[in-house]
Amino acid sequence: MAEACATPLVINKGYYNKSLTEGINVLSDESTVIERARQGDEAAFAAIYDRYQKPIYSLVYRLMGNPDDAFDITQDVFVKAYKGLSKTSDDLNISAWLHRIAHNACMDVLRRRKIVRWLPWDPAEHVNITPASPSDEPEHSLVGKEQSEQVQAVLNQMSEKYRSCLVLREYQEMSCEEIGVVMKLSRAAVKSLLFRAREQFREIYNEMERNGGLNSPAISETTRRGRAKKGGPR
Amino acid sequence: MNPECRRIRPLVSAYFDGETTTSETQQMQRHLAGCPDCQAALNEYRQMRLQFSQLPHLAAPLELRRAVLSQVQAVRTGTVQQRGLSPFVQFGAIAAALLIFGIAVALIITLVSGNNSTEYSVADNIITSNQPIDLQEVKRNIKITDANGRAIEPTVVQISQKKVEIQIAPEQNSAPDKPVSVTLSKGSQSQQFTVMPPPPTVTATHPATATATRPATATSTVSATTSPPQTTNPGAVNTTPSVKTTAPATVTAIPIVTTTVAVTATATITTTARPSLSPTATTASSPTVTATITLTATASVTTPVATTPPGTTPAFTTPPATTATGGTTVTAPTGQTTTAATSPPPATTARPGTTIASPITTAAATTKPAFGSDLGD
Repeated sequence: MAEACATPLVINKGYYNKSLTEGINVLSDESTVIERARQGDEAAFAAIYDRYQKPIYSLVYRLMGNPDDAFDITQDVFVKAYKGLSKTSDDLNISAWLHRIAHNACMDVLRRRKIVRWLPWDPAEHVNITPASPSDEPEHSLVGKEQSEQVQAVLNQMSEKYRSCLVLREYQEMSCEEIGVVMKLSRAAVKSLLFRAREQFREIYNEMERNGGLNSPAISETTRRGRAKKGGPR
Repeated sequence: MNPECRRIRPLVSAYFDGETTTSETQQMQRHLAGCPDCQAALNEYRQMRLQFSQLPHLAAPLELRRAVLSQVQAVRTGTVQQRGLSPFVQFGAIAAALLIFGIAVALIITLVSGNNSTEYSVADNIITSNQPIDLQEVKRNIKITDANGRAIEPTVVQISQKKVEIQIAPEQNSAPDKPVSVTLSKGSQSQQFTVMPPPPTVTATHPATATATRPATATSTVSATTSPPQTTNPGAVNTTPSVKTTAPATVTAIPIVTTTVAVTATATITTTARPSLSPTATTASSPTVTATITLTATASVTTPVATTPPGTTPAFTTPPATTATGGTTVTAPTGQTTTAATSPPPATTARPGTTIASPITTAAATTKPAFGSDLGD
């Protein structure tokens, strides 16, 4: 017999769910806009873009680790969305749908490159990124900046599936159920994946710390491949 | 990690997410009370969440909006044009495409910045480098020979800071189906690679003529590119207005059917930098190589182009649905760029769900009569 969850689901107050709440408030308006966009209305589609560009671009940026890829892939995502919108049903959850397109697009690119670009995080390359709002900008403090860079550096070294899962949970603040929709996984599979992702993040993070933080060399190729082959951390 | 911890550790993650059942939660709490390792893991998860919460959420660059909307418009326009071609024209165009073709071969080298010394490597038919590319250096130091040992004089074109395109004229490659040898040198050192050129790009262009004497409707789209005003009202919809103008015009169209069948093959040569080494580091990971080989084949048929008799001046009026104010009428000779001046719209009070028009003052467009469905129906 299935047991009820003892702990209520955490209601996140972060960016993602904040936008979802707004989405509910303007549901009727959004439905109208989606319907207009479905019929090819470019202005309506522009409104959809304006609403979702930030979460989608951020997601792609974190998954790919550099602004060039984020630009190109986000562009592809929205063009694909425009093309595919007419085939969607009336009860479309556009947020989950866009996240799914974005996630798949990133995975496709990484797969096409055969191996993930394990580029070291180069802060100089990211000086021109635009924070969404001043409150989203922790770089005013050196500690915040270093931490952000270190988190991204760790993400860049994680296997793409773990990275994706972890970013959706911790950065986009999605529930396991929502992640399941985006990644086409069962809830149980998401929970299991999240555990392995967290363990891999810890492992890389701690290894990086031991080796001197951000300036430490990336984890060895052998170690990384070993992790990928075994499907998770040890 | 003891066996009990090993068994229960996956639950720590689920417990942290509030995804455990009642009995799992109780089990977890009992275990955590006496297990410092799992407590430490839970604390690290909390720390991780805190770190993620400090990552900035990034707004997409403004130019991305323009790029997306311009592509969306192109998609829409493309669809309209395709619908307008009759099967006869399409068949003729494809048949013509098979008659005439040209060949071009292109190699693209992408370079990603990395360490100080230039190093090239090859894997999966991709040459990679760890340095930003210097066009002049590549021009000076690249040598390409075909499978028969004949030197090929490549054309090197800078595409971006990180990309150059190396074009090889097909007539120079005596063995197009075999790999070419690429030698890149710097100082006294040189590195040689074998790269298989991608399949040739085949382009076909064939002019055909047809005469249409039926009345045609000229359609032009005037798009404004100014950014819409922002509103802080939740749910307000910002729009970039587009002004569609139509004007009936009777013209004698002599369409020229230009057919393009392109089979493009691109070898993207991407380089991935070696991880940077800290002064204290003693080891470095192996260089990694990113390879992308894209093969695409497209056959496209451009829409017929019609001539407008000299002196024809279709009048373009804004339809009622447009957001341009004042019922502006723009008169434009076909094929020329027209600038339409409109007054800024009156002040708008934004309410949730309100469509807000941009205060566009000018819009420029080149009017091109499209004959689409009026031909061959």
